[in-house]
Formats: sequence, structure tokens, C-alpha cells
Amino acid sequence: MDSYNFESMQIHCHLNELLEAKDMTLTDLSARVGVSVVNLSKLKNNHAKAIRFSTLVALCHVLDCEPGDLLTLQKADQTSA
Amino acid sequence: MTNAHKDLGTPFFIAGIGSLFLIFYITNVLGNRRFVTDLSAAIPGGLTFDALPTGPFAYLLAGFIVKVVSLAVSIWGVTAVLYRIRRGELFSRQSTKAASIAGYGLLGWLVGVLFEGMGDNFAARHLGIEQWASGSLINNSTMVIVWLLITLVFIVDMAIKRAVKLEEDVDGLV
Repeated sequence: MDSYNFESMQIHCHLNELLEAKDMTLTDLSARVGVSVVNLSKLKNNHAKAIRFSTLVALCHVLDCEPGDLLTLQKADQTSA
Repeated sequence: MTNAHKDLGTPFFIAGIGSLFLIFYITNVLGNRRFVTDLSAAIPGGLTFDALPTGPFAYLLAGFIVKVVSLAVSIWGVTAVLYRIRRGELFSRQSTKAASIAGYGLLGWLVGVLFEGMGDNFAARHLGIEQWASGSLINNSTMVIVWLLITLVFIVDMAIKRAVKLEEDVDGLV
């Protein structure tokens, strides 16, 4: 069985793209989901280490998307297009 | 001054009062060259350095030194925790170390009390005193308070350790 190198993969957050598509600012999003701008900024810049389900539900509801639209699995050195 | 800083004023003041009492204790003993123990009241003139034979003097001196050093260590530990709180670093490894040190310092004080008790008994025998208020710490509720306070310090230490772990777990959690 091939060993899988988990450290070569990371979760990438597409919050920036979704905000642009919805023409929404981080501040607007923060007010609507009840998460601080600081934490949303961490999420947007892929600095967050974990996300609560409640935060994920709120974000998906406000951005009208699925969790898979917001978070994807990518190779650690892969940059977003 | 933030509310957090205002809240710290009282604990810092209380720790400062504790330090003052320690200084009073040291200057009282060394300045008057007289030990202040349970036996002191039973001896006219008190337990002066000059009046004590070598054996009891050694025990009482050891008790005095151990008590002073351990109380100084405890005061340092408590003050160090307060400084960490002021810097917003209560939940840190340094805080747990300082709280542990404060707790062990208090245990060290009990060792000093033990030496002092032995010194009192030794001195009483040498001076021919048979009736005195010995063991007052054991015979009343003071020791209960002492042990409870020491326990509280270790509980605080455990709480800080747990909080450090929790903070590490939620670091980066959104």
C-alpha cells in the first residue's frame, strides 16, 4: 500500500473569489456571519488551522455556496489561479 | 489604563503588602537579634541570639532562613504570574512554572515551620521550660487554612496548564 504524504496537501480557502462574485467586503461578511474580520481574514489568507461547523454553515448560507466551493484540497505548493 | 490593568492593581497591592510583611519579619528578627516563635512569649526577653545554645540556635536559624527564602520565592512566583497577566500572557508555560514555584515555596515554608518547632522544643529543654504554648499551629484551624491555600495555588497552576493546552488547541480556529 502506498503511503500518503498528508503534509504535502493543504486545505485552500476560496473566500476571496466568492466575495468578489458576490460583490461583498470582508466587513459585510463579518457582520452577517458573526465572525470577526480578523478571523475571516485568517481564513481568506489560508492562515486558519481549523473551522467550526457553525462558522462553515454561516458562511455557506450567506455566500449561497457549498462547503466544497469554499474549501478545496490542494497540494501545499499549489497556488490558486 | 485599560480595565484589565485596573483589575490588576489590587492583586499587585496585596502582593506588595505580603512583601512588606516579609521585610518587617526579617528586620524584626535580625535587627533585634531575636527569634519570633511560639516559645518567645514564654521567655522573659524573648529568644535572643546570645541567650540560645548552639543547637537550638542552629535549628531556629535554619527555620528562619528556610521560611524567609521560601516566602520570598512564593512572593516572586505570585508576582511573576501577575506580570504575565498584565502582558496578556496568563496562559503560558512561564505562568505555570511561576504558579508551581509559588506553591512549592509555600510547602517550603512548612518545612521552615518544622525546623522552627524543633528549635523551640530544643530551646525549651535547654532553658528548662516545660509548659508553653507548643504546637499551636497543629492545635487550631490555622493549618487547615495553610493547607487549603497551598492547595489553591496548585489548583491555579493546574488550571493554567489546562488553559495553555486549550489555547494551543484553538489557536487558528475560526
